[in-house]
Amino acid sequence: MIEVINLTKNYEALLAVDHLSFSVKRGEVLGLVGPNGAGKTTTLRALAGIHPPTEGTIRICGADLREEPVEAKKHLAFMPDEPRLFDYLTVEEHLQFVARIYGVAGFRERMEPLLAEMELADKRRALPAELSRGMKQKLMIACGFIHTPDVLIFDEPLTGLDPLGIRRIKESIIKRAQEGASVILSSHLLHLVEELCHTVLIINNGKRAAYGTIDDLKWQIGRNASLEDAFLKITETA
Amino acid sequence: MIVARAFIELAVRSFRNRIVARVKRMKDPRYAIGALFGLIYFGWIFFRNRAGSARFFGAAGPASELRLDGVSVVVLFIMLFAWALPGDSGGLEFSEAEIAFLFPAPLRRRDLLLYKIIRQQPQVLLSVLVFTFFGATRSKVIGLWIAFSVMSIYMMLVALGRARLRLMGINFLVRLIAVLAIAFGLAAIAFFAVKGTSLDLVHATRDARMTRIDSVFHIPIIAAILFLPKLYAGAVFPTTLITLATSSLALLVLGALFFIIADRLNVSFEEGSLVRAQRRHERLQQMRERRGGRYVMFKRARAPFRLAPTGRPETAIVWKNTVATMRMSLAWIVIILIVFAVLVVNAMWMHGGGRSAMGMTLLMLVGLFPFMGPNIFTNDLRLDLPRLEVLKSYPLSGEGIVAAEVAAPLVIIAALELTAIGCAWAVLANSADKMSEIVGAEFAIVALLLAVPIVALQLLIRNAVPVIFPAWAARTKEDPRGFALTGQRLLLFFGNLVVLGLALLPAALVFAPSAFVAIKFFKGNAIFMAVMTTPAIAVICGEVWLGVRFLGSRFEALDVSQEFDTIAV
Repeated sequence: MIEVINLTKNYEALLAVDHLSFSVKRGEVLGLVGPNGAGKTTTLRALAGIHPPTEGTIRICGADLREEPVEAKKHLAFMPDEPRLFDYLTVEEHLQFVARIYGVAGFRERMEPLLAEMELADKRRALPAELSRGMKQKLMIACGFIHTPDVLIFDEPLTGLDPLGIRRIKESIIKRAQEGASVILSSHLLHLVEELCHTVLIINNGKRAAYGTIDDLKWQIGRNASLEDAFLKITETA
Repeated sequence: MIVARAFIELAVRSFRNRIVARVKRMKDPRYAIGALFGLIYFGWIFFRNRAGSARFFGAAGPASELRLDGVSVVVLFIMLFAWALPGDSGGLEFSEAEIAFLFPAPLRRRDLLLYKIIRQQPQVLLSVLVFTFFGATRSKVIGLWIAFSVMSIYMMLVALGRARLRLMGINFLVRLIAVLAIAFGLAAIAFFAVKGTSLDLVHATRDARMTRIDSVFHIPIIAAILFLPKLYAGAVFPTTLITLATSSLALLVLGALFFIIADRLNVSFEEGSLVRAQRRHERLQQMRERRGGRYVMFKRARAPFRLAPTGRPETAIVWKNTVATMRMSLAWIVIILIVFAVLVVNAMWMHGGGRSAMGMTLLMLVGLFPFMGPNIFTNDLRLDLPRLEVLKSYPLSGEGIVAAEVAAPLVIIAALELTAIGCAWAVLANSADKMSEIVGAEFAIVALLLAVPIVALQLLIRNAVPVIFPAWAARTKEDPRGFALTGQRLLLFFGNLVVLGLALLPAALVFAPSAFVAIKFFKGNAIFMAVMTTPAIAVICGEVWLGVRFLGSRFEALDVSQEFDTIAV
C-alpha cells in the first residue's frame, strides 16, 4: 500500500532524509521513531505530498505521488502533530468540508458514529476556539477517518490527549488497521509504538538506522530487551 | 542593590541581543530589502518633516515660553485623564518570559516594580533619541530622558491606583465622573481667573500677543495648577540650563515619590499582568496567523448555500471561505451597504451639485473598491496560510485550490462592486449637470462588464504573495518589526500596483481602439460599447486563467517547511 524507495529530502545544505526505503502492507502498522531532528516529520510530510522530495519515489496504493498526486492523495489521510483547524468552521462543518473534498456519499451516516467514537457528539456546533487541545486533536483525527482512507499517517497522534482519549485513539488506530488500512505513526512514546506497531523504522540523521519487526529489533539487543533498550542502543551506535 | 544590578544587566543584555539578532537577520534578503526600503521611507518622512519640527523644538523668546505653557497643559491633561482609563486590574506590561521567571522568583513587589522601570529604559532612551533627531539639542537629552522615565513611573502608579480604587469600591464610571468634574473645575477656575484680565490680542504684534497669552499662565492660581506639569515641560524644553537642572532634579524627586506611593499601594498586579500578557500573546498569535487580529464575530452565521457531500471537491473550499466571510467579515458587508444606501438616499433628496457630489463619491468607491476589497475580504489563501500543509495533503490540483480560494472573495467583492456601479449610475444619470452625459448607460455597461475580471486579477495578485513569496506573507515567530516590516509592506504595496498596472496594460491597449470605434462610428451606443468591451475582457480573463495555472503549479511545488522558516525534521 505504501512503498518508499530512496526518499531523500534536502533543505539547502541540510540533508534531512537520506535515501530512505521502506514499505507498509495492508493492515500493517509501522512505527517511525528517532531522536529529535532525525527526519521523522520531513518523511511524513513527504509521504503526505506536503513537500516534494528531492529524490526518490513514493507510491500510495500503486499511485506515484509525484506523477499522480491527486490519485495518490485520495487514498491517504495525514494527521499533523499540531491540529491545524479552520477557526471559523464548527466540528460538524469540518467533517462536512472534508467529506466533500473526498466525495463521501454517505457522509451523515458516517459522521454520527465517528463523532461518538471521538466523543465529540455534544461539541458538534463548537468552534475550534471552544475545544480543548485534546478535542482539537480528536477532531483532526475524525477528519482523517471520515473518508475511510487506505493509508493513515499520524505525526505524534497522542499529544494533548487525556488517558481515556489515548485509549480511544489507540483503539481507533487498531480498528482501522484491522479493517485493512496501512498505518504509519511517528511517536516518541516507545511503549505506544511497542503496543500498536507491527514493524518499526528507526531513523537517525535522516538515515535508516534499523527496520524490522519489534521482536527482531529487540532480539538484536538481547533476549529480555525492551524497544527502549533497542532504540537507545541503535541510535547511540548509528 | 544586587537585584537592581541584575535587572540593569538583564535589560542591557536583552536590548543588545535584540539589536544583534535584528542585524544578523539582515543576511536574509527578505529582511535586508525590507529594512532598506523601510529606512528610505522613514528617512524621507523624517527629513521632510525636520524643518517644521526643528522650528517647534528650536523656538526662542516668547514662543518658547508659550510652548512651555502648551506642553504643560497637555501634560496636565494626560496626568489627569490617565485616571479615567477603563483598565483597573492593576495589570502591568510584562512579557511571558518575565512572568515565568520573575513572578515565582523570591522577589518583593517593589523589586518587580523596579524591574519594570529599568526594563523600560532602553525603549525610553530610544524615544529620546528619536526626539533628539527631530531637533532637540543635546543639552535637552537628559531632561527628555528624565521626563519620559518619570512619566512612565507615574503611569505605573496610576494603573495600580486604579486597581486600588476598584478594591475600595470605586469603579470606572465613578472615576470618569470624578475626573470630568475635576477637569471642569480646573477649566472653570482658569476661566474666572482670566475673565477679569484684558488681553487685547487683536491690535498687538505677534510677539506681544504671545507674551500676553503667556501672562495668563503666570496668574498665580493657573501657575499653581500647572506647577507639576510645568516641571515636565521645563525638563523637555528648558529655556536656560538652570531651568533644566532644577526641573530635572525636581522630577527625579517626584519620580522617587511616585515609586514609593506605587509600592505603598500594595496592589496585587500579578494576576492582571498575567491576563494582559495572555491577551497580548493571543493578539500576536492572530497577527502571525495572518488574520490581522480578525476573529469569528458571528458564530451562528451560515453559508449562503448548502454543501452537498458529493460533486466537485473545489466547491468545498469556496463554501468554507464563504462561511469564513459570513462569520468574520459580515460586519464589513453591512457597513459598505449602509454607506451605499446613505449616499443614494442623500442623493435622492439633493439637487444639482449635491447629487453630483454623492454620485462622484460613489464613482470614487467604484474605482477604489477593486483595490480596497481584497484588503478587507482576505478569506482566501492568505487566511489559509497557517493551514497550507493541510490543504496540500488534500487530493486537489494546485490549480483547483488557487481558483477555489479566490472564488469566494471574488463573488463578494464583485457583488459589492456591481452594486456600487449601479448606485453611481442611478445617481449620476439622473443629475441635471454634465455628469449625467458622461456617466450614462454605456458607462454603466462597460464598468459592469470590466469590474469582475479586474477584481479577479487583483485578487489573484494578492494571492500570489503567499504562493510565490510565502515567507513575506507569513508571520513567523521571528517577525521583523520596525523598518524591515514597514519596508516589506511598502514593497508589497508598490509591487501590487506595478503588477496590476502591467497586467491591465494589454487590456487597455485592446480596449482603447475598440472604444474609439464604438464612440466614433456607433455614437457610444450602449450595445456596441458592450460588444467592443469584450476583447478587453477576454484579455483580462486570459491573464486570470494563465495566472491561476501558474500559481497552481507554484502551489504544488511550494515547500511549506522551507519557506516558512519552520523546518521540522
